[in-house]
Amino acid sequence: MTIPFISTNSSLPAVSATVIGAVLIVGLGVTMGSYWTVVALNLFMWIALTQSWSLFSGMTGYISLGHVVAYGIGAYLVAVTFKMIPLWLSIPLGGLAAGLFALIVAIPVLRVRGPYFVILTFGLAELVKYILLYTETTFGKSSRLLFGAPKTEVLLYWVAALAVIATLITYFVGRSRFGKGLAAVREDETAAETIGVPVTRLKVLAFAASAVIPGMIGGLMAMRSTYFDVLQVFNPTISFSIVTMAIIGGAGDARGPILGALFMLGLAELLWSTAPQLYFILLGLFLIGFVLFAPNGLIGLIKRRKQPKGSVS
Amino acid sequence: MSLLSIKSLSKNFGGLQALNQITLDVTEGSVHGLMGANGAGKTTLFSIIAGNQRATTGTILFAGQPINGLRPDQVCKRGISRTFQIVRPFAGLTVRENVEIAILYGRQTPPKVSEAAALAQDILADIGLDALSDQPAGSLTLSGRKRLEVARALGTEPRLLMLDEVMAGLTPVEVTDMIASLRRVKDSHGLTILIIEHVMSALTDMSDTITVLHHGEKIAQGTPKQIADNAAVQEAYFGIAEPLEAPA
Ligand SMILES: Nc1ncnc2c1ncn2[C@@H]1O[C@H](COP(=O)(O)OP(=O)(O)OP(=O)(O)O)[C@@H](O)[C@H]1O
Ligand SMILES: [Mg+2]
Repeated sequence: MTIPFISTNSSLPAVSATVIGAVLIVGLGVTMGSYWTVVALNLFMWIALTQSWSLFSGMTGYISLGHVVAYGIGAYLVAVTFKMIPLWLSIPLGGLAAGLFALIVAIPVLRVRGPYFVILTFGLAELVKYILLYTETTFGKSSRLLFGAPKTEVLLYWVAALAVIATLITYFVGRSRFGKGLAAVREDETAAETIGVPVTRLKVLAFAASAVIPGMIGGLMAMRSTYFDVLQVFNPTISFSIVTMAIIGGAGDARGPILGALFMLGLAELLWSTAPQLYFILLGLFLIGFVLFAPNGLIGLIKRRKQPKGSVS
Repeated sequence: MSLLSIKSLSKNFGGLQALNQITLDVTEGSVHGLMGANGAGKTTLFSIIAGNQRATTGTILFAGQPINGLRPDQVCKRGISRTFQIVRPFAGLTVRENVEIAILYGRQTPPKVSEAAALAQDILADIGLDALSDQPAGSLTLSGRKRLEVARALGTEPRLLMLDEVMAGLTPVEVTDMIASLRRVKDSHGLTILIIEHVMSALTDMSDTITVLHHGEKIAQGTPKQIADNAAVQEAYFGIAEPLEAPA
C-alpha cells in the first residue's frame, strides 16, 4: 500500500499496534458477556469521536464545542431512513450528511477564533438541535421507535472499525503535508499564509473531515438505543465529554484520545454506579489539574518522561 | 529589467495616509534598500506587496503580471517571500519544521514530504542555524528568530526576498554574520532583494539602490552615495541640511 506524501514503512508498528489492540478489546468485550460488550462499545465510540475531534481541533487549535452536531445529524438521518434504506448505506450517508453540513457552515464559522469560535460552535449545535426538535414535534414525531436494530455485538464491530480508522487518519494526517499545514495554521495563520499555506482551504477541509466519522457513530448509536430522541443525540454533554477526553489524553497525537477515553471510562467504571457525585467531582478536578499543570495531557506527560535528562525544550 | 514594478500605490488607514502615490521599480538581481523614519510606511509597503494587506489604489506587477488582490499564499507561490519585522516563528514547532512547512507549501513544485527535512537542513546551514534545527523555535534568541525568518522565507524558493529589519537588535558581530549569509544566499539562489534596514551602514553596504520614504511619500532614490548626499533626506532624518558621512 502506498499513501502519497508519506513514508509508510516507519508506520508499520503503530498501525499494527492499533489494529491488534482493537481486535483484542473487541474479542474480550464479546466473550466476557453483554455488560463488557457495552463497555467496549462505549470505549470505541469515545475514541472515534475524540480522535475525529482531534483531527480538526487538536491540529488547528480551533476548539469546537459543538461536535455533537455531527453525531446528531448522523443519528437523525439513520433514524429517519430506518427500514427504508439498508444500514450499510444509511450509516455512511449519515457521515456524509454530517460532513456536508460542516462544509457548508465552515466558511462563516471559521472566520472567528479563540473563545468566539468555541461559543459559536456550541450555539450552532444548539440551534440545529432546536430546529430539528421543532420539526419533529410539528410532524408529531418527538421520538421514533427503532425496532429490529442490529445486536450490540454487530454495532461493536462497526464502531471499533471506525475507531481504528479515525485513529489511523489522525496518525497519518499528523505526518503528512496536510498535517504540517494545519500545524502552521495552529501556530500562526498570518505567517502560515505568507509562506504559501492555503489557510482557509485547509481549515475547511479538516473541519468537514472531522465531522464524517462522528456522523457515522451517531447513526450507529441511534441503533443501540432502539429509539430516537432529538434531545438525546444532540445532548451537549457529548461535546463536553469529547473535549474533556482530548484535554486529559492530549490532542495533536493519535495516542492522546485513546488515553483520554481509557482514563475517563476507567474512572466511570470505578465510580459511576457506586459514587456518581464523586465521579463528577474527580472529573472536574482532573480537568482543572490537566489544564493548569499538563496542558498536553497524559501523552504530554509520557513524552516528557521519555526525554533524556538535561535536554532543554 | 524590473522584476517588481509598483505604480501609484496608496494606502489609507482610516484618516491616516500610510502610503501616498508610491512608484517603485526593483531591478532583477539587485539589492534594493528601503529606508525612512519610524512610521514612514515601509512595513505597510511589504504587507501590501505580499498580499497581507490590500492597497487602497495602485497596481503591482511582478515579473510582468499583476498581483494585486492575490492572497498571500498565491503571492508566495508566484515567487515573493517576506520576513516579519515583529518575528512570527511557529513557536511550538522545531526550527527545522518551520522551514519544512515553507518548503512544502511555498514552492510551485513542492518536493516529497520525506525530502523536506534534508532540504530544510541545507537552508538552515546556509544561514547558520543548523545546530539548532531540533530546538523548538520558541526557544531561540532574537538573533536566532531573525535568522529563522530569513530561513523560512528562503524555504519557499523566492525570486524576490523582502527583508524587514532582519538586523535590528543584533550585535555588530551578528550583523556582520547576517550580511555575509545574505550575500551568500543571494548569489547561490540568484535572488533579488528588497531590504528595509535602520542599521545604515548595513543598508549602504548591501544596496545597489536605495529608496527613501517619509510620511508615506517617496522623497528620494539613488545609489547609497547619492542618498547620503541628498538634502531632502538630511532634512527628513535630522531636520538639518548637512551631508551624512559618505559611505566607504
Ligand atoms: N493596521 C494598521 N492600522 C492602522 N494604522 C496602521 C496599521 N499599520 C500601520 N499603520 C500606521 O501606518 C504608518 C506606517 O506604518 P509602518 O509600520 O508601515 O511604518 P514603518 O516605516 O515600517 O515604521 P518602522 O520603522 O517603525 O517599522 C504608521 O503611522 C502606523 O501607525
Ligand atoms: Mg516597519
